[in-house]
Amino acid sequence: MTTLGMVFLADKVLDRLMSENLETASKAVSALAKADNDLSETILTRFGEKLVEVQGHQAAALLSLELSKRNPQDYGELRKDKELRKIAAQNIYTPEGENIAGHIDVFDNKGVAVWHLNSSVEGRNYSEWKDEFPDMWELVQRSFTEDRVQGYYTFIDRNQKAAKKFMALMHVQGTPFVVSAVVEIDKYFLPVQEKIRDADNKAEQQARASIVKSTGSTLDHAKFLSLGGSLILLALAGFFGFWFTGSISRPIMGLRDAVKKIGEGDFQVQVSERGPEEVKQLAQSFNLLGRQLTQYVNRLAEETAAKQRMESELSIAAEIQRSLLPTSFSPPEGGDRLEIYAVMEPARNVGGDFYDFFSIDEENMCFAIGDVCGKGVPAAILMAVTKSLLETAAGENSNPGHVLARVNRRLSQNNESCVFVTIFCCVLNFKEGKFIYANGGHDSPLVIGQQESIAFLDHPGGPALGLFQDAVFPTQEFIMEPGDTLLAFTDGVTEAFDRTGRFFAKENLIKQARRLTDRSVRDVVKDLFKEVVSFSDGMSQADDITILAFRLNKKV
Amino acid sequence: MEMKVIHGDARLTRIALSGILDLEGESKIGNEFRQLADSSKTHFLVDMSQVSYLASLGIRLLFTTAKSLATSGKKMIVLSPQPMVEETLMTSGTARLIPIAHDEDEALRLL
Repeated sequence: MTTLGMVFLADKVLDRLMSENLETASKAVSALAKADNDLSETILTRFGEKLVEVQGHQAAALLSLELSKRNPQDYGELRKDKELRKIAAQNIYTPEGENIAGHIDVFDNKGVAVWHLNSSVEGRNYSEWKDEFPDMWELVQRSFTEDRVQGYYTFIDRNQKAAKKFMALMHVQGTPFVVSAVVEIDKYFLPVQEKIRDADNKAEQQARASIVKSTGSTLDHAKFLSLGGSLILLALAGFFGFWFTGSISRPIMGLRDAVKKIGEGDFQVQVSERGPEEVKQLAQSFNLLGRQLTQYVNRLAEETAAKQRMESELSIAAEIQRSLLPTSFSPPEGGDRLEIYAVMEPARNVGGDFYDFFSIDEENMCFAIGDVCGKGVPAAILMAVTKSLLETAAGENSNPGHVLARVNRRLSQNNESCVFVTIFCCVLNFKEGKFIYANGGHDSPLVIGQQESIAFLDHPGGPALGLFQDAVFPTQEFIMEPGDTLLAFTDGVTEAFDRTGRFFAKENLIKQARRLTDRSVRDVVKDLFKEVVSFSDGMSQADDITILAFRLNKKV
Repeated sequence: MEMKVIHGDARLTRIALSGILDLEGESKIGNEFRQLADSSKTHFLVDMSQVSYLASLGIRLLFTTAKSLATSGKKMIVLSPQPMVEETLMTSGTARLIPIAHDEDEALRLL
């Protein structure tokens, strides 16, 4: 009877011990899951702040480069510049590149918005929002005297929904401007955090199931020992029961503490992988998750840095390419007898279109417009080579047919990949008003005469350069009358398309050119370019757009 | 951009292209088109009546393929291009290597 009573007592004691330890283990698992989630958020938030700061710095560096050639006081002119706007007012995307998480904009050292994605904000002072968003205004104010500022503020949207925003501010060297990079950090990493949260929940459920299973088997084991039926056995069974159950909860508690430490910023710490099999698995699973998270963050950092390096290099390449094209439209010879203007807008950072004009002697100027097949960096390299070959050839023999033939021979050599360039080239004698031209597979330019006479020049019949090594480029002459304008273009103009897939087309080009006959050459080119962009109605630019025009105002 | 080999015999491979032959179109069919030419022992008749736009990379694709065929004495003929595509081929001068025909009889005569 006494033995039975003791066995009953031992059974109860073991049940209680198991129940308490199970509860402790369960709490520890919850704490572990929460700590893991906190850890993810800590890492991602810090990483997000760094990424946003880097993007802001990149914009500041590019603006500093671009603004070194412009007057930073003339905000109106600066805002009209599309290149500057692209850098100074842009969206910040989530690392996955799918969603907008924030934006970059620029204000001056008095708080006046210079560029903003919402153009209605431009010209307004950030102090207007100081009562609404005091934390933001404090950061902005600090940026007037500090080189770099960053911090958080609470933004309340139109629906009165609050969002915590991270703001990084940095000066644009050599200017009175400050770049502001703002993101909603939660939004920035939302997709990643959701994945981590799901993984945490799953791991937590699995851990709980494992512990319940393990505790059940341990209890049976202890009860079996207690059936020996003596006080000593009871004590031993109690000791072993406590030891068995404690062996589950102790490592979990250790795990929880270690994870807390990691959550406080020590990312190198790994938790111990000791203890019963299930707990060991939990620790291994946690360490694996931690390693995966760190790997993900590292990979993201590398990819983002590489992407930014690439973008930065492309921006510099674009700058170099632009610098290859003449931007001074005052003719070195001929004075007011000649008006010249041109635009080149690449479809990507860099493009394959080009234009050129240069003096051959006191009476003659060479004009050229070209289009390299393809887009992007390969096209830009070939464009630079072609332009250089063209100038060299024209320096040796100014006949456009000879110039194109010479460039063609050089481009055709070892051209296994069959890249080619279309070029229209002419040499104008502005005293006589006569120009000689050759055409290497390029669209014929328009001649816009007085009394609204508009016609395409005859095509003398040369092929694109680079395709046929022994190609001949016949020449033709054209006599310009005072007031006549030659308007050359690339196919990015006539082949720009709208949302329905309709092309801008040559007919429309003639129509627009006719409308612009009484305008200056600069206005003709600029307005025509605007017409093409407006026609595209927000469709992404499929091809580089280049327009070159010159007008003979008077002969002799 | 789509490409279909609609008929092939010992002398001629008939291919139909449709869509826009630009950068994206070229990347879709380019490899297949080139491989077909590399392994072909026949002339190519390329029906371009359903191609609405031919960009420079499309011209390059046709040209490289025609050049590859020419090394084994074969020709590529473009059949019934739309006016804008025909103008592009004519202006660029590629029609010198790739003749244009407006119907099959004319194409067969050009071979």
